[in-house]
Amino acid sequence: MPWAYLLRRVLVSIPVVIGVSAITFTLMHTTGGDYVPGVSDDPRLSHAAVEAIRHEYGLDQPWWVQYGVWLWNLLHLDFGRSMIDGIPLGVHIADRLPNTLELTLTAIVLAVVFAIPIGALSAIRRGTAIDHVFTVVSVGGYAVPEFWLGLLVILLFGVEPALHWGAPILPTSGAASAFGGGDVLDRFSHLILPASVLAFGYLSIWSRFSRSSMLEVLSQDYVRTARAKGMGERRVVYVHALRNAVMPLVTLVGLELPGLVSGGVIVEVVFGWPGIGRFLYERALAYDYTTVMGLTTFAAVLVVAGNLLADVVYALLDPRIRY
Amino acid sequence: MIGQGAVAEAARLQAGVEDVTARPAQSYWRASWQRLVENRVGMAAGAVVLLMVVIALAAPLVAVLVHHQYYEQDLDNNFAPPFAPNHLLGTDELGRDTLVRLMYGAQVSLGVALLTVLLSLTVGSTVGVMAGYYGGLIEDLLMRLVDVVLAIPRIFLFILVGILFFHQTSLLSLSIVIASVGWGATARLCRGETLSLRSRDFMLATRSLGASDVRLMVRHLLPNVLPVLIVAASLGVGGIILAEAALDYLGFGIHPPTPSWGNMLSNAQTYYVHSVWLVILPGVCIFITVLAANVLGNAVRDAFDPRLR
Repeated sequence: MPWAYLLRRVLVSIPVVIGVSAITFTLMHTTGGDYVPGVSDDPRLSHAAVEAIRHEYGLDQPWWVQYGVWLWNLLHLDFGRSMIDGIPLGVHIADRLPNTLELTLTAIVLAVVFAIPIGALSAIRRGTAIDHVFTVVSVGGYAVPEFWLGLLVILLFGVEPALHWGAPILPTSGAASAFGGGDVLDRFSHLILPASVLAFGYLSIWSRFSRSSMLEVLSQDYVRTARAKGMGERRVVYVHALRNAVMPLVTLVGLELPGLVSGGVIVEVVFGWPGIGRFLYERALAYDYTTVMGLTTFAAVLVVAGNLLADVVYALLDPRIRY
Repeated sequence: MIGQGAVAEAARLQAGVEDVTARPAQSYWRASWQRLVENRVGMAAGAVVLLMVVIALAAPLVAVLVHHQYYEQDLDNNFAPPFAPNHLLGTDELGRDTLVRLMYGAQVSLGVALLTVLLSLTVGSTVGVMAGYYGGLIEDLLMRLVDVVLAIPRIFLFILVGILFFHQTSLLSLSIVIASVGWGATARLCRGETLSLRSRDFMLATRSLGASDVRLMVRHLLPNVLPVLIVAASLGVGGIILAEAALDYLGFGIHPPTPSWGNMLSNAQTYYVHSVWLVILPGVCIFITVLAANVLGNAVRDAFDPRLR
């Protein structure tokens, strides 16, 4: 691993992070100005008290000082603190990131586990009824709004069963029961619906991809060779072809890794999942500017870091990549 | 086989030159359009999109005909199910007519889709062509800006820009929000195309005739980038409609009482214990429109994409 390449990639990433911090700061400064949510309009607070709070957040400073402080803190991985509760954002993130990762990671694993056999089956049975069914479902899957699918699932597994049989089949809100919940089984039952909805979106893309990849592999010479030397069809398909067909999918799934933090925002909102996404949504509606700014920058830093990591890993794995 | 081929060849030559020139030269646009029209599935999807446009445009007319405006409340008839007297698709919690509201919702979805495409294409192609044409420092600055914008996860950027317009949302503001993500990808695409066109002979020829930079970019580069742009735009429409509906649902889009499919859904989820259709209908509208837009987009790609030729 040439260190010069690694160093160059890291150096190229730094302006991107600074650019992101500038954009988020500009947008939030334009929208928020020196407004402190819940405090600025409170008639019970004296002017001096409001000014004191503004001073505490540094909102009375000129914008370049504010940006300088913000950038300086970012360099120390300090993403600021909430304007509503004053808690450092790092604490909020540490609180919610595990929930988000639990949801998105489950969804991605679920999607991969189903996408590969569905794609392979469609490719092997190309042109048959089962191939057409999967094609229609996948094309439809592209077009279904994620939040609507979530609402329908809640209706089907939560509202209707509760109406007719007195209890929902599966819990439809939160990551654990409020009373006496939190054990593995309880968390798992809460995870099933949101993770499935999130996985469905990935599935409709990845199953198509896995189908076309499998089709390509099946027409390769080495597959014909394997058949020609009398190898059983099962062994040809499942050992020789499938293995090679899965490789491009790995790259595609790798590209989705930034989605680990940001991919589930809408599903989190629909299912009341206590993750980063729902937190962002709630705080954005409450005008918690510093939190929105910090969370966005945090997510962007992860994206940049993820791309960097992917580049380095590819360079390590693929001997054809030279710098 | 060989003998037969030779005989056929000789017969073809004897038949004269007309046979060879029987098919007139077709321009790229004409040929592409022909391919698109011949794609039946694509044309069916196009018909559905057209129908949605008609529905959107006819909304004010239908509102007059059925004597219900989208904001008009009919509190005696709230939560009327579909096919109720006076309300073909039922009413919501304030007795507002669902049919009329859905039709106005189509205006929002399609209007935002159109505006967003125009915005992303205009900004994206300007940035991309300029970056590719000038190269050097200008290219570096512009493309780093694109890198920065694309580094922010879509939904985060939507919410970030969405707050900016929170108090005065309109079709235009929503389009700006969604295009704030879309222009980056367009710019990258245009830059790539421009780079491959820049060194072609026709560019050198035009430049040596004394054409200015602006003329080279607008009259010579842009028309050549256009096919790729059209394909990218038509493939993106479905995603824009979905994004718009999601923003409405989250509350960063069109605010009530102006109906949009997204905010109707967000409103309806409170009532689906007794009024399921309020949740079903707007979702079906989004689904059909996005499905048709995607299928049409694929057909346009198959017909127009020069890289598939």
